[in-house]
Amino acid sequence: MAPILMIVVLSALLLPGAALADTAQVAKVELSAPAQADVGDKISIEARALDASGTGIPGVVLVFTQAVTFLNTEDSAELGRSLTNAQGKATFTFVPRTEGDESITVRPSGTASRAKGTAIIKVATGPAQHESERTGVHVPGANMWLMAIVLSAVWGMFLWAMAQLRNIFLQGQNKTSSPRLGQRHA
Amino acid sequence: METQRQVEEYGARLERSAFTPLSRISGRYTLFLMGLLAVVGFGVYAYLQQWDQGLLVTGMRDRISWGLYVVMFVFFIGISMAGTLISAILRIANAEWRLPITRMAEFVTFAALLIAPLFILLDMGQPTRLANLLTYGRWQSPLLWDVFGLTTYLIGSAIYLYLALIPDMALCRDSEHMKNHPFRWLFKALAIEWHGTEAQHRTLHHVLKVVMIGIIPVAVSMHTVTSWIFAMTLREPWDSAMYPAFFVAGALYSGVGVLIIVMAVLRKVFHLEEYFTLKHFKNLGYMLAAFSLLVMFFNVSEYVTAGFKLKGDVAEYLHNMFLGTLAPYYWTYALGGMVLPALIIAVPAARRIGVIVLAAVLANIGMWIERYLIVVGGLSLPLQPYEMATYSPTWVEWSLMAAGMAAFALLIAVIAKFVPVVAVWEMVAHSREKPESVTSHEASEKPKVKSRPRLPSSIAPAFPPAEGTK
Amino acid sequence: MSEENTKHKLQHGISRRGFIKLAGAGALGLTAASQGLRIISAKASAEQKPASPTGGRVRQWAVVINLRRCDGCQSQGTAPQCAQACIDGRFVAEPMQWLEVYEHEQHGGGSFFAPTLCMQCQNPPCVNVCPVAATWSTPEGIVLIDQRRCIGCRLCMAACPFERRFFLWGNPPRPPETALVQYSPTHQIGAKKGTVMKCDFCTDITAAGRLPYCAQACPSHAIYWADMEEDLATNGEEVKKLSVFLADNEAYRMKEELGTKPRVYYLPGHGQDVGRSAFAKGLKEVHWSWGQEGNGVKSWKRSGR
Repeated sequence: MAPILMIVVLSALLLPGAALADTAQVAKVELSAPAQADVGDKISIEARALDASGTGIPGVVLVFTQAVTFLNTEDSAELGRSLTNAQGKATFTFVPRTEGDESITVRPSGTASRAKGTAIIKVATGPAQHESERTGVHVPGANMWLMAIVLSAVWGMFLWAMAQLRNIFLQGQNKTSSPRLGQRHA
Repeated sequence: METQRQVEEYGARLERSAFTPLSRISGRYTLFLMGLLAVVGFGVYAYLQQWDQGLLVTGMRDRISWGLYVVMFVFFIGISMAGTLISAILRIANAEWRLPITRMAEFVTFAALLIAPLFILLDMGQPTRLANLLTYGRWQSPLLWDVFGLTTYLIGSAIYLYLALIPDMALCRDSEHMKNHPFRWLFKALAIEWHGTEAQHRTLHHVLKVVMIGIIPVAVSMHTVTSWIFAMTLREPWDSAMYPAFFVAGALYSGVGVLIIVMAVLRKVFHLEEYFTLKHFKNLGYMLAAFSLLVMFFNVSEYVTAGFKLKGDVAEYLHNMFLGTLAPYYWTYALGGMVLPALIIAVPAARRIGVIVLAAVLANIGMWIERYLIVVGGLSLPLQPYEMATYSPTWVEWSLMAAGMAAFALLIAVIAKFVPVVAVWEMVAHSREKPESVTSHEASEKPKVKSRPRLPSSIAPAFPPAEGTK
Repeated sequence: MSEENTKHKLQHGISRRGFIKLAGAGALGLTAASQGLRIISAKASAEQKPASPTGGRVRQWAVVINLRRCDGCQSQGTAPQCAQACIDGRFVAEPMQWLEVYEHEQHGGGSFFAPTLCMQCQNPPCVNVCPVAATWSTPEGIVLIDQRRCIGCRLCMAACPFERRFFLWGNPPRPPETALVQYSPTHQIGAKKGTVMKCDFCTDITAAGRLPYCAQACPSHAIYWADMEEDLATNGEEVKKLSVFLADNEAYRMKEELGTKPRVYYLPGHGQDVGRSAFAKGLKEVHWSWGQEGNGVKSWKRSGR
């Protein structure tokens, strides 16, 4: 039992990246983000978790949120999380989908630290609709005109047949010359 | 000479038998018509209840939202295959025995296509907005495909019926029997100066050839688009690529069945026993048996394929169909309406006219149940967790179903008073080309001929008249 | 709401004028019909400007229902309040339940509740089959019904795989205050018998920036209204980023394999966040609190007579 425990503890110490730092240490969080962006752009923001002496703390889970209002409800919506590296830096990419002056906040996860960093990104209207409701498989030519052609062909045949009725009528009217079927002169 | 006299006698008898109904209205016929009108009238009364209170008077509700009306619609569309089958397909196959039957088959098709859309009108929640189908129609909708298909097939079968009718109208116009007929002006108009000239025969045969080939894909498309009203939904029992073929097979089967029944009735009522012989019933009976096997094949194909895998809700559906609430209907249809008619026809001793008609009646009852199983059974499978829904038709629905069938019979009865039920000109022409078909036949049956009226000029004699006769 | 209404009226107007022009030219028959069909498209065309505050971009409505918080209002001792609020707020005629809470079985023997409303599918089978375009998808993704055009053929009801469309079989009892309300597809009051009705995602209410009745009424705030374009969802208390919310909680859609692409997402659960055991079964019935039968006014059952 004891040897296994020792191995586990040793491996935890030897793999510094796997260990999570104590967030109470975080005194300050710096956040840098581009000043402007368009809706739909992929934005990369950087955050640094610093302790009281200004050194970066690795292994801090930083939570990125955005202040939003939707249907008259204000809240800060979580955008995602990122882990700080050895220098205490964490990068996070996100795609802004709301316009206006968007306020991004980052703070360490949990309640141990009250440090936070904010940045404002001016987001302008993007070029196009992100979500579209155009569904379906659009095969060129497989549309109403195909059906119209088929129906026209059939109805054309009917109209032709009805035109032949007129022919029969006319042929019946001048019945003088053409011989009757199989008639032999008396 | 003897042969030629027999051929002429045959022609004369045929003409008299075929035209007598047109010039006489018997008391029995009037009574029959009154009876049918009474049924239709009661249906009108039932519909007025529905007009006033809405579809609430039916047994349909949110879960089973289609009922007897749609069942009758599909049933009548199914019947309409008869005309095309007999007239067009057998004409192409040059099957001679079809000659007496063609006219009757075209009646059945035409009448069925007129009655079927009435049931859609009965089923609509807002029937006053029928015109929306034209003004706001969406070509992407299966229902609109059905509108196009039905209209096209109706016009097509009307044209086909009329084309084959022209020489008979000329016969009516020229006939001795019809000289004082009140509707002779109609026959004259419809005959459009047909005088049997070579040019006219050529034109007519050319048109008939084109239309008879063209009408077959139209008929098949008609049943295809009707099946797509169901198959274009995501309901488990309906979501099958086989539906068009299934519906065409069912239409062939029920079409032949109704044709046998109508043929038996008209043969009795108009005394056409000489022309509709056991041979005709037997041949139609063989076709009935063949189509019954076809329908059986589709049933097996559908249920065995789905039943082996039991994907999704299929297990619940099949249990309900074979062992649950729908079981009595399904087995009546499968055993009584599919297997039994085929077995009946298969037994040589049973091939008598009455028995064959019985097989046809069983077939049609079975096919009606099958339509009911498709429509109501398909809708009964729950889409959310609740029990299987129930449906029981009300008196309004039964009355309108009866009224629809009465209207169908009424249409045929009325048409039969204006149009001879057999294609006289074709049969006479055929008897001249193949006299043996008439003489050997004549030897077996003894017809009663009192006098020999003059044959009208529109049927040109193949041989000059015999000596001493006019 | 009114903008939606006006735009659809405009479409009606164009089509009627267009058709009369053609009929007058004597081009009745197939050509005219096909011309008329070309003018009417299944979905609302791009010329319609939807009511959207996100400048130029169009909202794409969606709903997320967190089933971890839904216990069918068992803890409240009432009928499911989302369903009840919908009936009360939208004056839904008896016996329709545009939002209905179904109890589904789950593995292990217990059950969970799923408030089921119109999925406003992105590939809606009901819109695809309607013969007169009486039901259509707005640019914001809502499937609406115009009862002034519906012919009552009920093909859409057969086509809906979620059974969320309801038919007015007769004249049901309705509260007297609805008699004076002007009908519109987004405010379905005073619809005629013989037409179809369903949940419309309360677009008239959300256009005014408020949550629909069901989302407001839920005591555990389990129903979120979302915009897929702005990637946000709210239940009135909190706002979440929709994509993160769905990804983090294993969101799923009902009957996904049918390919209708519903807009309603469910986060799996059985009410455990509000203390429900999966084996506590049973729902209370909703009720329609107005109207007397009589004078041609009668209610009916969802199935059977």
